[in-house]
Amino acid sequence: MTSRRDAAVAGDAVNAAAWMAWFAAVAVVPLTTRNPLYLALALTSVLAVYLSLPRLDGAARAWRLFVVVGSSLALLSVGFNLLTVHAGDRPFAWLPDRLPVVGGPLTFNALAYGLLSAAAISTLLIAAAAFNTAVRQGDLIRLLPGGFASLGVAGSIAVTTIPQTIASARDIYDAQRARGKQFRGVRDARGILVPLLGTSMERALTLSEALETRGFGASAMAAQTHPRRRLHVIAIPAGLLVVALLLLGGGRVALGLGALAAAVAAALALAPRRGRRIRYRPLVWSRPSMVVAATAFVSALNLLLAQPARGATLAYDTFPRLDAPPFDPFIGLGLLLLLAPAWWGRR
Amino acid sequence: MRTSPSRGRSGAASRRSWTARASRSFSLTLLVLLALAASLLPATAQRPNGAGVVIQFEDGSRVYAYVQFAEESMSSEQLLTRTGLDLIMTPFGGMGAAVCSIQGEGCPASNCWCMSFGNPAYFWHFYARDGGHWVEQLQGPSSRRVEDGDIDGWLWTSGDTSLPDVTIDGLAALNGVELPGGAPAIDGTPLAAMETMPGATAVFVPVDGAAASSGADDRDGASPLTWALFAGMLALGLVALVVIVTRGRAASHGEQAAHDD
Repeated sequence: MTSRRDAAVAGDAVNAAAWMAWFAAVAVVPLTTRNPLYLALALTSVLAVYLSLPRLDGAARAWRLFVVVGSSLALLSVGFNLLTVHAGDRPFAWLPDRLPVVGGPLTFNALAYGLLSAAAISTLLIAAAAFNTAVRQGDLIRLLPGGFASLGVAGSIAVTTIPQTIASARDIYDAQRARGKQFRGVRDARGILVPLLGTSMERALTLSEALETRGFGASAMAAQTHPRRRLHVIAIPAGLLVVALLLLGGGRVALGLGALAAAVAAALALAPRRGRRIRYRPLVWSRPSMVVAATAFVSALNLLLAQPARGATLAYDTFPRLDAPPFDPFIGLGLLLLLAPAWWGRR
Repeated sequence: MRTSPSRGRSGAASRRSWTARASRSFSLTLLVLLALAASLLPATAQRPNGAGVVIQFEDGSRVYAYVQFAEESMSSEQLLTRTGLDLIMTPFGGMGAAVCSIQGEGCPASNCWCMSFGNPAYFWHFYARDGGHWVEQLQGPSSRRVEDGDIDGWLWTSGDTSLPDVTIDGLAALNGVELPGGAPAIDGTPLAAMETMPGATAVFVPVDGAAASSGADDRDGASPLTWALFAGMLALGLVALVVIVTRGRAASHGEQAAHDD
């Protein structure tokens, strides 16, 4: 892990912005299509990237547990879907109607729907794990504009809470096992939960002291002397946001998304610059970074423009009929481009 | 030579009277023209107003209905009722009527949303044609007013929005109603005309009908060649996966060996 970060400093690794572009490109897939062929290619690409990253340090191990638990829950939804949804044209078994909720025909349609949902969720989870394993939270905060640095710190604390708790639980478990403690049942969980609560509170106190020592939030208090000057900072983005919501609610999707983008741009442009930021480690756009960012951009654009430009069908539903999904080779090739970090990511 | 004041006054008076006559004539001509134009207007207004309804069932079959009416406008609920199709509706609080079933597809009035509690959730989605696109309506059919040329859409779906692209001219032509300058926008011949109320016409187009296949519901799937391409791409991804795992294991073995040394 250390060598990878040293490599990042040296400038021959994929930087945080490129990783963010890759994650955004991956997220486009499950958000735009439920076609099993496209999901299979995206899942394979994402899995290859995730497995190519070193997963030895505590955070990486925590994210691995996150992937396993999340994917298991997603697989549970397959069974839930199969037992509770009785629609579709391909029944293969019947449960007695007297059984509440689960009674009725079991269909391949429901099974396929559950599997596709699980594949979509797993793709996102594995991509999130790969992204978080490869990128440090600090690098992400540095990508934010100056006015949003405080928000970034708060966000990164929120995002890392669960992995840090998992890592602490694992450390406590290892320590207890080293002391010879055997874990046999639920009552033995007290040996983990009590120290976990203690370490969590201790970490929260340490974090708050560290933030206060570094003057976190002090600039916000100082800026409160001129509240009227800052009215437009909130009013303009909020007004644009309301317009965007009205347009989206009225079915004007393109205009609504445009207004939403304008609201975000206005918020970024008008956010007050609190103090000057000094970058000791500027963002380095090495060749691997550029390749990963470019392939991610092409992949996402290829998918988003497939329908309007080439008339390719992205929509796929297993209800009411279970039919063979369509496949556009260009979309497939675009999804394979998501493999790029597997070659360059670990250097 | 001097002009007498009386002569000058009479010249000015004649000019004024000529101008007055000309303006009167112009006004009269304008009135006649307006009267002529007004007499032409009823000729076009004699054609009754008409609105369309497109209904799509779960299996993809569709009903294209065209309803003529004398009023300026009516509610979508009235429009749907006047098609004469077999409907089940129920009051839905302050939002007017909810459509439970059309032509036997849907739910009974006692449990209007019976198929919407699971996943996927089925119910009759209400759309309106707006600017060449189908826009799902947040309001009920009692709240929407339809006028001449409007089209409503009803779709029994769990989220798929595959209503066909239609125009009011196409709907009218399909139903045998001649509109001035109307051209059929739906290909194919409908197979069955349906019993409707007076002033309304409706045609049923089955799933395999040509008109149905002209819609957006394209579920042809992939051809053998594209399946082969997909298999090749998936194989490429899996090979990459295997290579990465093998390289990772070799590297970790190397690190372990170096550590042991």
